[in-house]
Amino acid sequence: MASISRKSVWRSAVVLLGTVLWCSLPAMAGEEYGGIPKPDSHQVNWLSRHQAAAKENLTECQACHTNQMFCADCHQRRDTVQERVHKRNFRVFHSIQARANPRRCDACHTVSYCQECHAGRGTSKR
Amino acid sequence: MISRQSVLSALLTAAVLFPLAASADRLSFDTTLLGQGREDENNVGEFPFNGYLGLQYSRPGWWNLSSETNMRLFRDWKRGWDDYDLYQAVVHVTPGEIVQIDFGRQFLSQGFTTDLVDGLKLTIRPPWPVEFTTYSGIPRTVERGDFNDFSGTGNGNDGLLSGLSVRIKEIPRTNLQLHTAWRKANIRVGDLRENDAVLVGADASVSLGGAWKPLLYGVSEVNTTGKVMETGTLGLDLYPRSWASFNLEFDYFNTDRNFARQSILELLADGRILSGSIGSTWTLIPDFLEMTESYSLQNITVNGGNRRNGHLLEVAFPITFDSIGLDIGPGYYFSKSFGGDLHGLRIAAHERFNEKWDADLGFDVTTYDKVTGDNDNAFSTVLWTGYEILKDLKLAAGFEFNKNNLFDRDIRGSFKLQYNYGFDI
Repeated sequence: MASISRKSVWRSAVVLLGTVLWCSLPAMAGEEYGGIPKPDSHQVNWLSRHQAAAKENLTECQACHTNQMFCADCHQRRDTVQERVHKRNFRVFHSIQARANPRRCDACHTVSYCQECHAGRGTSKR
Repeated sequence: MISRQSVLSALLTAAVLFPLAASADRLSFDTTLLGQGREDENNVGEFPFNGYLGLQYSRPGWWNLSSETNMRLFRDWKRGWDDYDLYQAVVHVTPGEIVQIDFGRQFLSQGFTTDLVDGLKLTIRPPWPVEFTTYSGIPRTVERGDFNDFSGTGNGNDGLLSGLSVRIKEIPRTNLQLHTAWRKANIRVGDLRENDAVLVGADASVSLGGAWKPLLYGVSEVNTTGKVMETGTLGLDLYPRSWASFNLEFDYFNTDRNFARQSILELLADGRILSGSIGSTWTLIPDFLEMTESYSLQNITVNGGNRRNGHLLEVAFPITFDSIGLDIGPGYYFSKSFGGDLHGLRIAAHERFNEKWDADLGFDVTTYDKVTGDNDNAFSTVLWTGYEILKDLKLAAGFEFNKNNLFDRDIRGSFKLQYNYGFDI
């Protein structure tokens, strides 16, 4: 696959960022979201069981979670700086929890993710 | 090196976005710079630096046009690593009252699995009690790089995912959706046994009515080509009082072990998983003290047809001091499986000092015994504090100290700069 130099990417990003900021100079306003209370369903076990609700009626989820990045943030984004889904020490004992319910791992991870690290070819997604 | 296709797809979205911005109704922008200094197990320095960028615009008067894109640029200044992730670059258009088109890289959750797909989704909402959603695209994962080769052929082929969902509406107190999907591991190969999977599924929930507001829900997913039921779920929510909520759920999981795209379940289990779980939330003292608990028991078929149980338990006591803006969450967690067992205690505190300044502090201690004989304790403490230096511009600093069997002393310093704004034109 053809690749592009790092310098070009950073240059493009700077141009993009500068353009956005220039366009935004005339007016800036923060955006506020209404204080919509959480539904009853979110009160208990929601993290482990929200897949059923999303599969039944995704439109209902999107009434509050309008941007798909809300879902991708856990399911796709990898972040080795902040603690998010897993705490810092999860790496040293995840073998126990993975074997308690391996199906849970599949919600966010691919097999190659595990294999690359266990084969010594690098840690998690940087 | 960063792939040209990833960068071009993001820039294409931006190129579409900005000419329209001159007459767009709403444009929003958010960016986060996130960096950390740390050392690896060999005391080699690492300095990961992440630049997150999110852009959203909407123009309701023009076919209800809207678009979102989110991406990450990564650079490790010490190790000389670069990376790029495109989480989404999607355009939504509603050319008519009953048709919505979403195209580009988008997060797809239409039954079965969640996927990041480069493709097209079409939603049709006719004036009938039914809604159709059809989609097709190439499934991606940014976990190890945007473009992968799950087929193992070396052709950089992520396969294909297509499907149809039918939502039945206007059934009182009921949600019902039927799904079918066709997944190809290698887009160029046709093989209904190893390369192609045809899935059918149904998901439903019924609100039964009554003082306890019971909600019954179920999921059923079958891999027809692999002749295996992959998911079966039956659950019940109960809300007997304003201060008590319960959830009970039973699950069946399995997978087609002949399919070319392997799953983690397949790695760790030789057969089906049966699972039962119970969760509850209690308001012990209103506006002050709650208790939450979640327990699940799994029976897993491991190698040789043997079966082992797995246990997962979490209990927490969120405490709120509204008058001083303090939230504290002490908790206990326990896991046991054929991999060993562990016990843990954690406490997290969030303090909002004023409108601009807040802080988070967490402690976590775990003791574990693995079947490999690796028995140890792990400790972690994390502190973050942030201040809004200008409207919608927040600067935060973080500190970590961790001790485990990989690090006798793991010290990390972090920073985060966030800026977001939106404006009407």
